[in-house]
Amino acid sequence: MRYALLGLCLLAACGEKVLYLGEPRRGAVGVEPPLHLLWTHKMDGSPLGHVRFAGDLLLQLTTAPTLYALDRRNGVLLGKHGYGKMACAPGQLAGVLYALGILGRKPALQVLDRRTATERWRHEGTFCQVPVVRGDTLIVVDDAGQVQALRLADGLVLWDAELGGLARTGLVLSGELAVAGTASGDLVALSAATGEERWRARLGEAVRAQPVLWGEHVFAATASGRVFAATRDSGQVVWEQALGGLPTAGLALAAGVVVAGCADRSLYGLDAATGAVRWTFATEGVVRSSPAATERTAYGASSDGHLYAVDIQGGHLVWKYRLDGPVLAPVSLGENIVAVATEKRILYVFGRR
Amino acid sequence: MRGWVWGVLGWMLLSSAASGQGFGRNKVQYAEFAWRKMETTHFDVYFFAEEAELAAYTAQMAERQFADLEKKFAHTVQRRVPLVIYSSHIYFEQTNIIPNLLPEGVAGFTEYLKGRVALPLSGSLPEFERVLHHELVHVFTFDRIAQVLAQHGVLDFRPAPLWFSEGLAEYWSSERNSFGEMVVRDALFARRLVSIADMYRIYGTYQMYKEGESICHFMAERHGADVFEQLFANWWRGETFAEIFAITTGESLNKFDRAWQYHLHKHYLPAIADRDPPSELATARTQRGFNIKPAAVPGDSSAFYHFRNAQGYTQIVRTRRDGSASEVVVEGERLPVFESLHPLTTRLAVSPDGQWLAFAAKSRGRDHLYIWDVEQERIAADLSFAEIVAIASPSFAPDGQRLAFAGSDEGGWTDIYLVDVTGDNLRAVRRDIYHDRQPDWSPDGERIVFSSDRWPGGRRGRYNLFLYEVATEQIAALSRGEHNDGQPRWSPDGERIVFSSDRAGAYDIYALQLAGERATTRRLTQVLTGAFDPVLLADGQHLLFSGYESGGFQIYELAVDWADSAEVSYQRVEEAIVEPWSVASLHGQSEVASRPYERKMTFDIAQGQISQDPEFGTSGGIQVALSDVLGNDQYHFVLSHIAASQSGFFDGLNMAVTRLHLGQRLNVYWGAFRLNDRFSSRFGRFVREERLGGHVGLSYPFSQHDRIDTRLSLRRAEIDRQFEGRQLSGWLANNYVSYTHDSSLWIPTGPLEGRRYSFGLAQTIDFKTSRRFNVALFGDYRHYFRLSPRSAVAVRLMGRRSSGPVPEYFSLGGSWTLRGYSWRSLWGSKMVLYNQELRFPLLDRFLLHFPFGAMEFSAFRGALFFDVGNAWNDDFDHWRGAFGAGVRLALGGVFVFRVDAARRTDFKSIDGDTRWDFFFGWDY
Repeated sequence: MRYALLGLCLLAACGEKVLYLGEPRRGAVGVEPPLHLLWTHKMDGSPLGHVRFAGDLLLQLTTAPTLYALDRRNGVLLGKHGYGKMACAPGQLAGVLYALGILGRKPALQVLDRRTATERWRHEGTFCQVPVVRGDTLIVVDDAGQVQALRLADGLVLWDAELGGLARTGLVLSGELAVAGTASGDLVALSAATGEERWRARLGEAVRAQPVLWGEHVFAATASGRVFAATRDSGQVVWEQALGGLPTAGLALAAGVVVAGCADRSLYGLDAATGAVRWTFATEGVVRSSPAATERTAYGASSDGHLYAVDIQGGHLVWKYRLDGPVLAPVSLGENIVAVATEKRILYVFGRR
Repeated sequence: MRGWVWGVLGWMLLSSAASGQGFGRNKVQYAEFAWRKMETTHFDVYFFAEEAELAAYTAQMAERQFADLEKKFAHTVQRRVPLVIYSSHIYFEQTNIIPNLLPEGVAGFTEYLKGRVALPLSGSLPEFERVLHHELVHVFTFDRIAQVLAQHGVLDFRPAPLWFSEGLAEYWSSERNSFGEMVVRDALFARRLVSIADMYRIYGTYQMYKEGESICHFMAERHGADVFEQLFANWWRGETFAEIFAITTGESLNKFDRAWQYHLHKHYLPAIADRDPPSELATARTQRGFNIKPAAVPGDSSAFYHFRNAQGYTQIVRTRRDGSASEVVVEGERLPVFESLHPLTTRLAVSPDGQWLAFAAKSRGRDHLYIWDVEQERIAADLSFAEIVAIASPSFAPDGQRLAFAGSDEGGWTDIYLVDVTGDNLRAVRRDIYHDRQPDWSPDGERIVFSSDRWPGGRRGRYNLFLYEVATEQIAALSRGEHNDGQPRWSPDGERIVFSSDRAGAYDIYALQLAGERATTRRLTQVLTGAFDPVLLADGQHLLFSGYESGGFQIYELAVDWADSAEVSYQRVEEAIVEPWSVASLHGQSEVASRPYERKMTFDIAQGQISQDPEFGTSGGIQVALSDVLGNDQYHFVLSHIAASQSGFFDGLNMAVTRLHLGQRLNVYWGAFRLNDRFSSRFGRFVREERLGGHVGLSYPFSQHDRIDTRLSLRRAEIDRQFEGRQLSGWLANNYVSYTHDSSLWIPTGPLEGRRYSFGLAQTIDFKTSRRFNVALFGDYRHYFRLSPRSAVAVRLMGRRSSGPVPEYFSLGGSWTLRGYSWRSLWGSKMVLYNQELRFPLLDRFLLHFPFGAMEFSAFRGALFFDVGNAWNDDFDHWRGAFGAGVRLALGGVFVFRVDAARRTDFKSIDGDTRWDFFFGWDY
């Protein structure tokens, strides 16, 4: 019954475009402040990764791990699915399939049929980065930095490639290019069709923020808090800018501003064209939660237990909300809503009434 | 079983009159403090009034470090962190936050029950800052691991290995320093470097800290500075550190271990081309134990004084240069008068006529300046000063009538003081925040050279040399540079100053010659490891110094060729800057408001247990301990119930509460109890006793070694002594008084040297009828005669006697009393026991290999023993004896596995059977 309910939920998501993790969140989705708390939901574990939106469905994976399916309008629980094994990264929806890296004695990428909640196939390896979907292909990167394209239907390996270092970020896919960062400090662009390496930019230290592809540039951030912009076609670094510490695992980009959170308790807004620091916004705690941005607003959450909305051009506080605990999981933007979950395991959804 | 409940109850109630004499050294509250509390954003700083300046600085510094560690860990500690600061290590040693006695080498600690950090000021603010940072790394490490595990629902806590947590704390709290480098470099050249896999062999040692720091350096170099943040983020993914490391870095810990060692070889081996170990470039003048801080005898080059620690205690020793003799002048650390001689932080001084020795020693809760008459072998003067808590490095003026020394006041600030040998005319050279240390009075009496951080680089913990003109009271800077110059000593002719400095990367000996306003400095050694504490002998041509080699210090002698002019540098002698650096909070600019400390009790432990026993059924209980932040006030609760009881709920209920006040020198405890000891099989005989009552006790420590205890309890007792066939009931009052001494020195299996004794008197009376139940006398004397560094003869004489209509009974038999006889098989109201045991080492390393791994034990020792004694009631029948041999294996902490094989004897014949005793516990 439980599985059937989940299948029902996932079915509802089928017709919607999935927002891949790391995709630039432009102004088309999201909502501008002031916001109202629409609903909250208590979960059984800490949030793992972004909230996923699909039509009226909202999905959140927890560290338990349990996948929650909620009605995005009112927070009503539509279904949840518990996994027996631990997961270390959020899963990915791909048509009728749901792919999730599970740990245990034999770690693997497990692909379930969302209609029956039965396993369709599994692919051995440790996959702690979110897979991406390209048509009928799932592109995954394992912990060791091996990138593989798997046929969605049966998991057949179509091509593989080496990043040349441990994977510290997930892949980002845009058109024919798949880009990932490594622990050894390389930003690597592969052909999404063949796995052939297109270019490699050596950034000198571990890439810690998932790359963002936007326009003609790729943006990434490294362990010491340096943000880089490289050209999309050759990987040539066009600018770099230092933040005050370890960046968040994800960057947001909107209105020509790269938004990053930082362990120095701040949110940063950088000019996407030049890298200049447009603004900094100080919070009262370490910022581990990846920010999100609309054309007018950057949203960031902090371990000080607040969700902040700041003006994306000037960095002025526009609105804030006191949550029940620190936030480590990313802020997620859906159509007209903002979602964020705290370490107290409460999922908050904000929007306009 | 219910052992834990009864163990706690036994400890709390001390219910048997004769069980009151627990051995162990005492933590003495010599000083009582008016504690205050200062709240910052993330910290509660606890301090006493005299250290208000230090507290304000601590508050500011702690917040700055918190922000730094937030960035390093990418994590914030959500709870408030209690910070307890002490202005002196002597005060720090009195802390009740943890029950352990704190050795002088402990610079601070983080405690995990309440997450408290406690640390003292050692004189240097930068060093205080470093230690605080080190401890806060522990706070963050613990919190981050706990948060990651909780986030992923991992229930079992997986602590970081000690080498990693301490190494990371060192790595993140300071730059690499010459002393730490020296320890690792020496370990490498002396083939004492311990791999990560074998790190347990140096568990908790300074070498482990420094190797851990070196490993963390290499880890960051090899895998990036964020590798630590990644390790913590992955903590939930592996059950061992090796697994977590492999997941995070993609490299096995074994491979990394080999790479680290290879890196060290590559880094350090080239140094041997230019440098030599002390034993190669100089002549060792000491061999045995740990020898440090030589002091020359003016006008006599044939001998010198120094500190020695060869057997666990520090001594002041006079050694002849030709090595023909070495005599102990002062025995330290055995008696309250010289509780500690501070061999690592203070120097010795010899008077110009050679008749007196001056040294600092801790006694009765503060340092005293002792002047020792060498000929009379007695204390000539015992100087202590109300305003000075800690004293170090005295130096005689050439007239022998005045002394200079470094003293720390109650606020924690260390300055140079001058005083007459009579103790009069005490005055400070300067009173400020700078760490002035190691003064040495010039032979002409006009100047004093000292080491200090009173220059801009001092803010970074660097020390230079300074010169104080006694007549003008002016201070001039003798040396300048981002290095550490210390331990200066004048040459006998007053023309040179020899000192130790790490200006070339390792601690070497240098000589500085003054010519007007110019100082000429030249290097005298190029030591591979480190050279310290230089002193020129009376002839001015031979230099003594402490050299570090093979993990220890010895005293070496070097002939100096003053004509050799290699490596000379010049510097102008200039007036010292009055205020070279400052700290805002110390000048009242950022003080945070404080308020008097309010005692608030919070949980230390709360645990429960249910057990099944085939004979006595089910029982369960809970144990709860509460204390205040300072640990001065404690509550202990025990509640247990014997579910199989036939006689109702209350009949099976055991409960006790004890309150302890440890904040003053006189420790007070009191409590109430209700116990139904229904099946305690005391001495193998069935005794049933129900008790309801209360107790109050006092314990007064005279020193670390001696104390007197007394206790009074009043209880309603129902006693069923079935072995005697009688039942007793009534209100019983029990009181005892005992005196206990313990100056024993321990190794992992038990005491090896020193003495322990306890004796006392107890009585129990029927409170209503005034009828005396019994009077008990008890005595226990143990003496440990050291035969060699690791072998000893232990002797114990113990006697107990209880008289009266209802006597107490004592038992013998078993591994810890009379071996060869069954556990508590002999009993009576009188008991006497004599043990003699030869304790000796068998194996230093005992390695057991299994298919799944290996276990190593560091202390595997043997014993030959002879026991004699008996317990009886009316008439003594005969002596019962036993002799045999045994082995002991230290498993860690209290767990010492002991096996004894004994043959009984009645002194007429020897029993043919060999009796075996097994026991977990230390030697007596």
